[in-house]
Amino acid sequence: MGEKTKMIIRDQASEFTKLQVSPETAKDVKNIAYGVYSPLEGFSCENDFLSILTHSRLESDVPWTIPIVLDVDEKMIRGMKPGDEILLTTSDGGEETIIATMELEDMFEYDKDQYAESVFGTKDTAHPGVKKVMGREDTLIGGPIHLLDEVKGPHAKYNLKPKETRVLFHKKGWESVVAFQTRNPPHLGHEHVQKASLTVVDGLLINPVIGKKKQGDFLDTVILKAYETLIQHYYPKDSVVLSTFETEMHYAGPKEAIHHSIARKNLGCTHFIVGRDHAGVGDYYGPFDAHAIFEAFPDLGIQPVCFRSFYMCTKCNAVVSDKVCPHGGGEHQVNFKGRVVRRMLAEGKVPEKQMRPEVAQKIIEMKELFVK
Amino acid sequence: MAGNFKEVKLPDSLHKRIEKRLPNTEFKTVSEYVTFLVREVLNNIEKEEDDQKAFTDEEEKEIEERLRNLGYID
Ligand SMILES: [Zn+2]
Repeated sequence: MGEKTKMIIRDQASEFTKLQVSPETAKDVKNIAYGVYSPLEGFSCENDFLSILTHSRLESDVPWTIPIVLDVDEKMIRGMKPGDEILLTTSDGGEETIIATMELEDMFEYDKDQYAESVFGTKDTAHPGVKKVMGREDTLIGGPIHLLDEVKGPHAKYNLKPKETRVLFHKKGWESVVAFQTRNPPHLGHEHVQKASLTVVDGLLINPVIGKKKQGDFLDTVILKAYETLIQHYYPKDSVVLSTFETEMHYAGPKEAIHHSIARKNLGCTHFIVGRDHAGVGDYYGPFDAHAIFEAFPDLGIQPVCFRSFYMCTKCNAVVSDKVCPHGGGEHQVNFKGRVVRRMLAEGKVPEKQMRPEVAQKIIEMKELFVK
Repeated sequence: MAGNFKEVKLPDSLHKRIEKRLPNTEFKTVSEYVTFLVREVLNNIEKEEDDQKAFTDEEEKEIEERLRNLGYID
């Protein structure tokens, strides 16, 4: 959309129906507009929505596992018809910003139980993703969006768009790029997995999820600063890029592993690291369900790099995985314990043999560590 | 809810050949096997087409400039 059209729309804003969306949905708008969610051009219409829930594919057969939806209070769109344009706005506590136009193509009611079963494999409302779905409005609207303005969060400079990452990888001469998804500051196990993968490809994209998370999760700032410190001290500068994926975690385990891979493919990556219980929560998914699901997607366009387990082996005297060390399961295996690392950092202690001291020190210096 | 399917025709000999392979695979039916293979092949073809769509020089320069300003390239 040209600047002139954008101006006209802003001028005539009062004549449009406005729909205020959450900051998280505003991130979806951005991801759609910039191609992180390519080939999507808007929020899901019913045909794609049902196709995703039943086949894990769009109606066009392209792999897609988590519908990108926009729920509305039915009163908001009463009297509107397909073809009408609406304005999407958002406000993060402050002023209301017009972020996009949306062409209303479809409005439909949906079965929340079917959604939950398909995406999360459960209807249990103790699951944070299910709880969110059950709390949504009963009507969804679908149709293409056009970005007018983006709300830049505090970490905007880290949020590279697919065109930018692609140019960047090209500039660096990387033909193969492995992406690492994370929502935690790095311990030695994470570093091992990244470096083991990086050994056989040209570059590494460390791509933390930035956005709404659960209470007790590490703050975005903590994750970014921790990674900057790790890269500064322990990574060859020309092998790694740190950039964010602004989205909300769904905790959909295997389905989200596919969703995450698609976004990274769109960023120009060729490989995607999938660890134990990827995007899982509680005991809802088996530890390697997120590996197995890739078998159903020979046309994903990005290669999963699956890791089973990694730990410190006191006999090998190294961080290893069960693929390379024969001493697993015994006295020599020292596991990385996220919970212990978290507790020690909160108490201002360096978790030795679990996290690089420079990284731990950097985290300890920060006042707030967790989502409240 | 069952999905929507359409029939395609395979030569008898090819159908038999695939059927013979099934016990060594994770697929239950010839249709499942063929679906998997066709998706894999189409993906490779589509990927090649994608790779050919490059940026215009001007666009690439603009993006490079932004990346430089952000500190991603020297
Ligand atoms: Zn060992």
